[in-house]
Amino acid sequence: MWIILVLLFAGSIAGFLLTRLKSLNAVSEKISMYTIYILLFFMGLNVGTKPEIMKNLAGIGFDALIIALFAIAGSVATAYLLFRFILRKHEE
Amino acid sequence: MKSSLIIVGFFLLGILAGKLGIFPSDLSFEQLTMYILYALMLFIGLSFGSDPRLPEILKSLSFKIILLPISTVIGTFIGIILYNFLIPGIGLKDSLAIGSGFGYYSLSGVLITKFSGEAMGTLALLVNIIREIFSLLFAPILSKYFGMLAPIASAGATSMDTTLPIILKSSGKEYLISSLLHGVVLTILVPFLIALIYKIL
Repeated sequence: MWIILVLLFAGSIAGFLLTRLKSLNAVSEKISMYTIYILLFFMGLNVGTKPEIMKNLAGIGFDALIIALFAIAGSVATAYLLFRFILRKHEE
Repeated sequence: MKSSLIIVGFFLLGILAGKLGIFPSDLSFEQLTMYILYALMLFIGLSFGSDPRLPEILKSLSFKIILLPISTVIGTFIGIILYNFLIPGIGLKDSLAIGSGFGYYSLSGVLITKFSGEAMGTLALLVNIIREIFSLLFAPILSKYFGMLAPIASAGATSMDTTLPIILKSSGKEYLISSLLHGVVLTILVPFLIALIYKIL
């Protein structure tokens, strides 16, 4: 957890100091985007090479999916209300 | 929509490659994934720090962002209680504990195995993996239809690391600090809430 926060912070400081480089913002955004795709591929690989996950998915996978969807739907609903009625200024 | 499809595509391609065993299986993909994530964090930092809107973004921050993790805990519990009401079977105690994983599957799986046994631990692992994957795949759709905070809420504890890049891509860079704070608070809450639920219920 700390490594991630330190890397983000260090990157932000470096980015801020190098703001003069006009293309830095666009380039780092492009690189981030392609890295996201690579990351997703490897996360898929992670799941695909774990037999215990694949095996369990066939058994209790459906129950797990339903529970996950209820948990997600509840939190998305309250986040929607929060966005709509309390933090709305972000929308403007 | 298009970005969601690309995201789903790369993820499925990864699963397929994993199943087909294209890559040597003695490689630790988890380790590798982490290093890619670290590199990504550096680039996200760079693009955040060099964003011309940075002063504006920082000025618009308010203490109200602390409401977001609280909203996610309450919303998740409401969803789980509703699940329990509609589909009885797993007790309220176990299902609330499973929901309290907030996508942090490794820790919640281990903890719930300890408190409640192998079956519930495995279910917790799967539920929380699905929560993470769902958030990865549907972040763009969630932000479009349910507001910019929706992908953060869905991501739960993972909004500070694995799903952070996709959240920022869907909702915008100005949500970096809200998303980080949300993830950090929930990550800390996971073990605390699970232990609390098994103690008091």
